[in-house]
Amino acid sequence: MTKEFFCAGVLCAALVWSAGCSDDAMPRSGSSGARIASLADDMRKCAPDIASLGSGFENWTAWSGAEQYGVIKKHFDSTSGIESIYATVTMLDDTVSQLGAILPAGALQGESGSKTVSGWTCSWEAATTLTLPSILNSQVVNDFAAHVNHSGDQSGSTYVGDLYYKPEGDDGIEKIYYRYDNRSNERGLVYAERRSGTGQLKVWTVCHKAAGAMPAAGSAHVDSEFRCLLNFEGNSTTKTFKFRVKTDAEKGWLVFGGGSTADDNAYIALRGTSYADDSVYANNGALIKDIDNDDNDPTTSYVILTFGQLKNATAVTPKTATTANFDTETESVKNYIILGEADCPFSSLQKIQEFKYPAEKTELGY
Amino acid sequence: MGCSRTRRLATGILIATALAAVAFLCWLFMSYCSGRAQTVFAVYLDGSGSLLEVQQRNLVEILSATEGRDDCEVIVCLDRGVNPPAMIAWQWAGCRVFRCGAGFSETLASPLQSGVPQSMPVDRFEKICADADTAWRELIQRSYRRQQDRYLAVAGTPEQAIMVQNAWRKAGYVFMDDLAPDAPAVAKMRAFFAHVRDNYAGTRYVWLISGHGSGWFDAGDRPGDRAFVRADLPLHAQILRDVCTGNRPDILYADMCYMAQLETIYELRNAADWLILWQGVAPAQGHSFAGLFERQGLVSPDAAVLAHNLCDHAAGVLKASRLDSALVLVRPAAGLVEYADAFQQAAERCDAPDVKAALNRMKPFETADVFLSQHADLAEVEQLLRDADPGFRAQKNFVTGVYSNKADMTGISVYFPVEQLYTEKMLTQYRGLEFFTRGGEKGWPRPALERVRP
Repeated sequence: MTKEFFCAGVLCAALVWSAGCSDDAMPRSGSSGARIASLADDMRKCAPDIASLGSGFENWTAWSGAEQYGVIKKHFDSTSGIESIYATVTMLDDTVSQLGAILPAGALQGESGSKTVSGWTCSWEAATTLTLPSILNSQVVNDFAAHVNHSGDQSGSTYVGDLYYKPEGDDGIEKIYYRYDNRSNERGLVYAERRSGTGQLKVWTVCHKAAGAMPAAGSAHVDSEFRCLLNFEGNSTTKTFKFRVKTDAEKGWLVFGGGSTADDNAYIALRGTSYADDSVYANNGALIKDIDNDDNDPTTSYVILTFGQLKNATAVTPKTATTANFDTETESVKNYIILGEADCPFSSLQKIQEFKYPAEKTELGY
Repeated sequence: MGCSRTRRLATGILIATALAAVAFLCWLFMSYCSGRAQTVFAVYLDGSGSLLEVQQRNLVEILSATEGRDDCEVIVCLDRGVNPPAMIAWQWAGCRVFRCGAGFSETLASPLQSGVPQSMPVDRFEKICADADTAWRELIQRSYRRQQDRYLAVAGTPEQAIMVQNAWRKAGYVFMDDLAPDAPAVAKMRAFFAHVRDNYAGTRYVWLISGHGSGWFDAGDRPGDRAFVRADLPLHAQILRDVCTGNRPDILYADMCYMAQLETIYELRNAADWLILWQGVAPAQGHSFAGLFERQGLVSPDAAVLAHNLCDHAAGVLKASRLDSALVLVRPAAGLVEYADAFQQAAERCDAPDVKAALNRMKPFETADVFLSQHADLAEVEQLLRDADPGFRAQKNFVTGVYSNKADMTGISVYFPVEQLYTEKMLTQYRGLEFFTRGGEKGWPRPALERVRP
């Protein structure tokens, strides 16, 4: 029987080989290219993105509801422009996807190389210790694996971008740092830490869009200019988030808060003002009060609403951020907007006043 | 001994034969699965408006998901609009067309050029030729040979190819490369889908259109949504109908917001065998193309299986998005026209005071969105009419799949105005719909329209 089994064995082997060949011929997805999972998509798992929901916020009678975007749509609409919490990370996602279209996978793992595509020059190498710029407190990051530099002509100026990347690795933390300068009027950066194991995500984005130096305090605001500092923390597993943003819009634009998007009945609390500073460009948060050291601040106002209400743009009347009003709130989500509470992005009035958008480009490095 | 040897030999041959038969069957099955019956996907990504970055990411995702695939043909057109920012891989304005499968760099570096159609269906070929002047027709006909149900281009010199392409132009054929970046989207889409149809032979075709949408509502009223709009075709429903006229896919998947109204579906009743449409909003981050092309069943020879698989996948995207929306799979041939007739007739007959009172009590969708707030779910309105009119028996058999995140969305909406301000404005557009004008001015629902009039 040996020969028969040998014969059968050969045929079985041929069969297995045949199946193996077919799998090779029909891979399910590509394996080449440098990839980083979308940051914006992970943010969307934690926080609302109401880009698809059209208008509707014009029905709000407060919080600039009558304007095109209003406060909420401005920050939680990924297509509302530069003031969206998604704006800079979406740009990063897009840039990474473009780089991914060009670079080999090894470019994000510390390999070296260079390439020129359509007039853009890309080079990649193993990263060394990096000191983040002063706007991020000059934090030192010594475990980036790769550094990718790219530059090219964009609308007549030389755009330059630098991507630093640390894969998840044994510690479970993925780190992404990207900074860019269009050598004309804009410099920006993103720094993110992501733990896919726990769903935690921390993102800092900074933008300085202005041709010249910072105008003197009190100067008229120039609409085409924009300076912004955003800090976002979320958990895609628990679907919770908190954020704080300070921009040079109006007389110091400050909004912070957070909550849950787990279901339509989950609550979100937001607090803010467009008069955080005592003059245009002062960037000092001097108008924010902490009367009686009890977070009693009539300068700021807040809204507490459900995720369902936010999705439907259901009008909610803002309240003044006074101790008396906070006392009437029964939902624990209020802790996202009361200074010093564990969920609140700010532990004190001092921390608010220290939270400043970049006054000068140099604060973003380069 | 001899007998035993013979028996062993016979047993061996038997086993070998059986295994060979199994191997052959496996080979047949794998050949079948690996794309002998090929599906052609044509994906139009509208990045000419506020979705530019999303669409660019979608293209990269598609290139990744299709790398190395040989079981289906995927052709993508990315429209970057008139004056987009130039970045590394994205250096162009207007449209570029890519044939996927070769990987990132190779594909992006090699956009397809307009050229002589290589493999055109007989009916399209003969219709264009019939309408062409004699000289151009003869030149075109000399340059092709018929093979079964298609005309294949005969290889010639580059100079001959230029002459033939010019002949096609003279015959009215529009090539993608002839269109300016600011050409109307409907012209771009028509040229793109024609390119796909006339160059890639497949057993079934899927047109997937990704962009802003608003059904039969004038998209010009929605900031940022103007990308598709053309003056003489202001409604997305009309644009998609026009795009598919004369170039009908098996499946039309509109990855666009607010496309599943009875009125829009009626407008698209001849556009495709299967329609996949969103009743409410579509997820802003776009479709998950990586997941889509990994779905089982993409290579099924059965369009129904393919349509259900595409819809199942989109439903997963909807579920993950947590949006208040619904997705519907429609097969218009399964009684859509009959249902629309019955629905409208019931609406015409429902002058009974109690029905009018019920309609007056009924609320459209509770939302701040101007468009959706003028609509009600079809199922609820239908039930009112059925209760009042036993003669209304037609069933929604054309709805073959519904996926909803919201209890009061069952897949299809119907115009149900609530505010006079919008009623007067929207009625003008409504009268432009075939749903309204067919067989005279019937419209729907007269009592509902009247209830908000002065």
